[in-house]
Amino acid sequence: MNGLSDEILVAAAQRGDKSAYSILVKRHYRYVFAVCLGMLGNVHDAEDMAQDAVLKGFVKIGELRRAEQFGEWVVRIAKNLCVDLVRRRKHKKPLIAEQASESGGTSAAKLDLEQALGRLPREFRVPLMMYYFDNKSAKTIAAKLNISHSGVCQRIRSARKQLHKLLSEGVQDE
Amino acid sequence: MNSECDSMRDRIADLISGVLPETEAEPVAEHIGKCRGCGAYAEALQQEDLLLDGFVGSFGEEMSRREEKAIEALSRFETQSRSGVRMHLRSVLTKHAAAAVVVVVVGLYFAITFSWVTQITALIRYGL
Repeated sequence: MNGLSDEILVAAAQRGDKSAYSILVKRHYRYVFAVCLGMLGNVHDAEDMAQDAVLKGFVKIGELRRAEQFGEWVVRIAKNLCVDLVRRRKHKKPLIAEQASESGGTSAAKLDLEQALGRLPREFRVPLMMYYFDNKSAKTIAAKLNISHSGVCQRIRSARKQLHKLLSEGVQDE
Repeated sequence: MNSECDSMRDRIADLISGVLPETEAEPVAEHIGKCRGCGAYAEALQQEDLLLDGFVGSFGEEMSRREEKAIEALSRFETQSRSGVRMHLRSVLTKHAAAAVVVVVVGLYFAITFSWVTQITALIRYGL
């Protein structure tokens, strides 16, 4: 069943086949997680939201008309859930660094990187995270985020330049 | 940093990130080779690239566990939904039963009241 296309798996999931949906989850989870991490900048929140997105996708799978776009669709669900969460927690600042401090044994450089990522604007952080999670395929990211290929490249470039600036100037706690 | 370096920095960032078209890579690499400042910039970006790879790679080990967790949540959700449907059906049945009891009680009330009225009317008409 693992070799089946998204279209076939979506059709099966729409008939209530949970194992087909589980394969779709395995196939697209890392994108969903990457978007949530980019949107929220916090690993624990990203995990929760990715899970919620997957559940919401299961509930709403019957509404998906273009089965071949399951990946884009579930990523969109994740993005919307993250936007809602950010709205609800406007006062709370995202901290990718939380993960590092909790996992322990993190190098200073990594901590700096995570802090720097946490300070990047969301519109740059999301494509950057997805790009690195997706083995650096700007084309796939463009489709998943519904933006042009050049738009993705531009955002990655801006993200890298800002990240370099943050890292070379040193990330200081506010 | 001269104006050429300034315009090169964008392309260096693209080259290191892997989004620069191959056809444009040669002049950028050439510039990096002869400009010390841009060479250092490219090297720093390369180091950051490795950091980013390492950062994302550290999630890789955990990704399967996260996927499994999401699938488990899916199963739990499905079970809860089923029991939710059962609860809903149960509550629908309870509501219907309560409504039926109300209808029967009201019906009996009217039946009894009506029979008394009929009897009293008959008594008035014939008995008194």
